[in-house]
Amino acid sequence: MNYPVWEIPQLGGGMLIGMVAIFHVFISHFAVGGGLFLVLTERKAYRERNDVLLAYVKSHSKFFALLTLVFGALSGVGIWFSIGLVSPPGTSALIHLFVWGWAAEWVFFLVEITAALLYYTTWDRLDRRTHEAIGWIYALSAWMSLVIINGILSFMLTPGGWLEDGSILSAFFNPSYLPSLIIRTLVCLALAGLYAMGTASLLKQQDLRENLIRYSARWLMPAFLLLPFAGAWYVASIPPLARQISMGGAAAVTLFAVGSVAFSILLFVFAYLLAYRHPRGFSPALAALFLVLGLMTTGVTEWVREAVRKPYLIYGYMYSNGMRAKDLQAMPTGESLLAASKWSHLKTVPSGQEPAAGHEVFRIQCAACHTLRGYNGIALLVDGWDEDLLADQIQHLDMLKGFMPPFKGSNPERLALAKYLFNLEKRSPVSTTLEVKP
Amino acid sequence: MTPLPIPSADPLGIPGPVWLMQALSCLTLFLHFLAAHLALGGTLLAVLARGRGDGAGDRLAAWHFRILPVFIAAAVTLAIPPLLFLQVLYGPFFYSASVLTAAPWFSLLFLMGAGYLLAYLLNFQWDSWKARAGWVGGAIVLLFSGVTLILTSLTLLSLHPDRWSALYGDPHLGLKWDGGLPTLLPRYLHLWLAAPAVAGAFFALVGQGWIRKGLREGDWVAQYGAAWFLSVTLVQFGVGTWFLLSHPRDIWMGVMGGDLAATGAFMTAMGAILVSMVLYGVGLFKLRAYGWTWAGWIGLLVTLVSMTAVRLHLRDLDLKPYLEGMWITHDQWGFITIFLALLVAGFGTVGWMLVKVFGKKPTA
Repeated sequence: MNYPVWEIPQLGGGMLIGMVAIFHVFISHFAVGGGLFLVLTERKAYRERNDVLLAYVKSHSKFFALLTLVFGALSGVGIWFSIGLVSPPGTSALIHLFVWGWAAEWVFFLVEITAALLYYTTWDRLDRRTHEAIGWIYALSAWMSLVIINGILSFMLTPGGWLEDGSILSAFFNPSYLPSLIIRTLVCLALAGLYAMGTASLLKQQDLRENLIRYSARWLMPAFLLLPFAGAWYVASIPPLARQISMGGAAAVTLFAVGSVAFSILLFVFAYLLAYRHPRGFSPALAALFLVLGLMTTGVTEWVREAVRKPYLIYGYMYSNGMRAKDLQAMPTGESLLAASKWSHLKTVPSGQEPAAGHEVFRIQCAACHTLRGYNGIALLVDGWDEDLLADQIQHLDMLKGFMPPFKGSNPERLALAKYLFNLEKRSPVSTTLEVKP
Repeated sequence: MTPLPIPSADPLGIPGPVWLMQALSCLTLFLHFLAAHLALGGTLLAVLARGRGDGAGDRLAAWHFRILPVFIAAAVTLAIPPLLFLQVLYGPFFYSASVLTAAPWFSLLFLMGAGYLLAYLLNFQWDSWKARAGWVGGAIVLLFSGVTLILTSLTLLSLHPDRWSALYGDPHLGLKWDGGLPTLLPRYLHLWLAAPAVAGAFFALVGQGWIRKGLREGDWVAQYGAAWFLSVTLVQFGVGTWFLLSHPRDIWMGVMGGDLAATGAFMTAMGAILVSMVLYGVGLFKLRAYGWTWAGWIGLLVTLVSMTAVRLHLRDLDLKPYLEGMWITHDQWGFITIFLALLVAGFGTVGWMLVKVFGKKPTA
């Protein structure tokens, strides 16, 4: 209610962030693991005096640079843009709290970008030792940037002691920090192998192709062995409600959580059987399929991670709609939301303008997660409800559905929202009510 | 009268001294401008140089397109800190303006991404694409000019809360763009023209370097760059005056004696650019002028950093009525110290890598 609200038809803000974030995570985690892959494979090529392998690393480094420098950097900025547009209060809170963390992350990013540019352009210019040193600088700075960003991301779900002591250290080294860092590092290594299987599958030389595909498949092994333990640790560290949501409490989230585990298992089994055991038949089409499977795994996992945080954006501090828990607690019951909102076109609920006022209330309290008729569309969710039921549900929203924030506003505003939703349903093109014709 | 819908400041407060954030903002914004001007202006000048100077223009274009991805990477990377500190200090203004013009603001990513991708493709496929470099370069110039326009108008909108309500629709799809913002045209022109001016000065320096190395194309490149720098900078005096005077009197008087720091920065910029022009002028008529040109380049950098400071001062003068009580600080000195130590170590590492790469002759 402090900021204007951007309404994105069909897609909604959450989906926009999700799309950009999944794309970014898929590239940025590769950027971390891929750096280590490059320098270790370069070492291997020199150690084995394998010029063909060295030529492969050179060409892979070009692909790596293009993907990470262009798409990785821009999608990273894209996340920042999208969260700032969809949830200014949430973005503002994270930036005000962790500004020096972001700034330190930028330093590592600067080193990482410089090292990446130099690494792929200086193969013929530098001696082996210096070139490898730049590769190591890249790998280390890329991982360090993950070390920092992981603190901020994990804080959003498990702010831990920060809620009581307000200490940045408590916020950064929060309960899910370590398991989350281990999971992300393992995913980075697995993605490095996955992408390398892709570029290796394009090689013409049969022996090198097979060796490289088998070698790349090995990069998935640490994740295969350790992810179950790190995953269990992570699940144990998150709030009980978040655990419940992902384990039956919310059907869609549970389904996606199962999908995340299933896709991961499929990926590792396929990598073992099709790439490690039988690299000869590993075609570019199969590699593309692996990458798609990897993207799907990343997608559902990130979606679950975001979804289990409901009803919060920052757990215990700020709800998904950008309202601070403390502010809501301090707000007297029945106090007008519209009057307190800086951007509302209506400050009261004038007679005859209830739907318009209801829309204003919807924008402030619901639009961060719900569209009208698209992703998480409210029209379909309330289809078949009458106005009284809607008003009653809104009043007890957080009690009826634990993953929803409480409704705050005056009684006329609640009734206006109910009327708006009811009218919306009547206009809905996706009514589930069957019309029986004689 | 309806109060302006300016959001309240974040209750978490400002986690550090405002002066430090402003200083870091100024430094990194200056570096961002430098890289962005070299990317946009350099591409424009490279496209226009092709086919001219008896092969020198083609050589310059080839050289520029080889390093263009580096300029773009630097411009993107160096845009992050100023944007970060902007959100800490001016968040209520920045977020409001960006949500109001959400679609154009978000489209910036696609324009930037397309330009960046084209630059890389041109770089990777130079042998087969060089005949089309003019078209590709032209497209990059158009895309980056669009990015500059979006950034300029967003910045300006954030300084004008009085124009916000008209942009907030019902439903608010964020598709509107306020083309009538006061000072938009001179502000945009002033920023856009700085690109060929800075790139011209840089190319003059490159040309002087080539002369020292005995490359015959150096003469033409040095003169081409210096001519661009001097002519566009002359135009900038007119555009800059127009830009300054398009502000309300109390704002522009701020840099004319009203505000000591703003006036000092403005006078430094004016002095440095005049010295720089004289030094580049020498390079225009005296071919072997490596030292003169270097000194002129340093003068231009001083101008750029001073003008960046002026720009930030103008922002504070514009927002002065609304900033009162917004900056409640609680300094995180421990974290600031860690950051500064990392910054020094990071710059040191970057420096070490650059010395290792450019301090050596190619091994092959």
